[in-house]
Amino acid sequence: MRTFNFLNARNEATVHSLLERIAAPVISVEEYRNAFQSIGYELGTLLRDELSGIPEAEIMFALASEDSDWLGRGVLSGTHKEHARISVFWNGRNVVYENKRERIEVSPIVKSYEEEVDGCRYLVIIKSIINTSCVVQTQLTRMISRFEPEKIFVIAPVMYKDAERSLAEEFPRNISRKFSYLYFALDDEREGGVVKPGVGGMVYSRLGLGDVNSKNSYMPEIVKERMGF
Amino acid sequence: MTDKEKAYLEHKNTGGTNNEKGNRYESYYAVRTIVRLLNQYRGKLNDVAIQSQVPINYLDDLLVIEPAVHTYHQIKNVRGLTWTTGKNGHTLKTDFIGQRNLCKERKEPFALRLVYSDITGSVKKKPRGLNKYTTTEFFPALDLNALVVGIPQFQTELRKLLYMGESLPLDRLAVLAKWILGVWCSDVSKRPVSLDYLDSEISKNMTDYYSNVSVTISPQCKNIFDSMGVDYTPSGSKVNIVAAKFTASVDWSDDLQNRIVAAHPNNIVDLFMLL
Repeated sequence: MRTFNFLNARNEATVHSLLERIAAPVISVEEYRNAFQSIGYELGTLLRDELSGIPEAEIMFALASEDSDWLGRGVLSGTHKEHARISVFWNGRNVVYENKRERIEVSPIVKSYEEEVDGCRYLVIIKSIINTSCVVQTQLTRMISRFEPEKIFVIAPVMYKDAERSLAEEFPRNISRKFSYLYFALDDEREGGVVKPGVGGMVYSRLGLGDVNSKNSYMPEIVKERMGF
Repeated sequence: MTDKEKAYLEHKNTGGTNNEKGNRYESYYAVRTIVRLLNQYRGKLNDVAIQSQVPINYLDDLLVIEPAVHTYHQIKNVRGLTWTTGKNGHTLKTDFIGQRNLCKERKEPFALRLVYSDITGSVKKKPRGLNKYTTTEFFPALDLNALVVGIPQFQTELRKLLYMGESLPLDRLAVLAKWILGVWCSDVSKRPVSLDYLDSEISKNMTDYYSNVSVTISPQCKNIFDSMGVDYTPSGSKVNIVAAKFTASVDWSDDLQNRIVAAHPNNIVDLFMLL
């Protein structure tokens, strides 16, 4: 079952339509990318109030490489903080242990593009879907190695029901108490580890970036722009 | 040992899941212990072994066999734990006394340790007759990532197990801790497992583990890196590459090296797309 959050009179119809498109079994790469950019804008609009009056130099957005050009751009645009600092991460994924009852995974950061953290006070972690929270956990652990945010926003269009609890448990209380979540849909079903309806399956392939390995060859345009290419 | 006591110990040992390691709290404590021991016994890892679910012993959660002492652990993630916690006449205190007597009978060099998660409990003060042999240790009941992030000493010890460990961010240490957990959980031998074995299994998965021999980078590749002002450092089977705001930690291979040489990238973006 899916429950909805953070909907209001202004965004409700749009967000419902975007969530349906994102979860649709068949969708073109172009449409899927656009839907993520639009839903990112809606999330960013909600985050705008929280970040209002905060200089862009004090905000760090952390993004997965595959989310950067569509969901990430949408969020940055929605918050009106397009020039805030960004960190982009390329994560691998390995199963370190598996039995009938449990599966322990790691998502090591294999590559990163990380802008300066000097003066940053707010951290915004953006992810297309938070399921096991493995990737977000790793990215967040990297970011808190670099600076001590006063507040940490974790935002995603869709989250699995246990993700909030499991992410909080993965950090000491002095860090997890800074978390603030923003998401539109909370799903409570999984099939083969994939959240249903979620984002319709594996994000990378639906975004046209190939599988879990080839997606790490993708260099987001937003990174190229920041590098002056 | 009476038949009744033997039955109790047999039942105690099969109380957990048959072929799997005990609960997460016990496994995380085992990881913490393995990390400590890997640092302490570097160069003589074969001298030490470790075992969980130790059969026919009162303290059966974890056994650390060092040359000078065998340390039997009882690991309790229980709120309000006391030395009289237990059932059917068996308490923590009687189990510790039973283990002490068993070790004395076997004439083995031994120590006993109680690991607990509830700092408000009253187990820190040890009962009479056990003081000499027993230590207690508080170990927080947190997720493994939270333990890495929250315990500086744990971080220090993990760093020592990795190439360039001093400069690595916490996420890299957390990945190592999880691989150690994976190796530990995968061992279902129910026998003492040597540190040497664990070390070699860990090194297969963590390519920048201290014991892995560092790779070499070809002169052609070095030229390409140098022409772009890229810093590159072999770390075991990995190469850490840093250029401007980019960092990469890649498993180095001839294939990757050949692809870089063939593509001959002339800017950082093109190089990082190849990695």
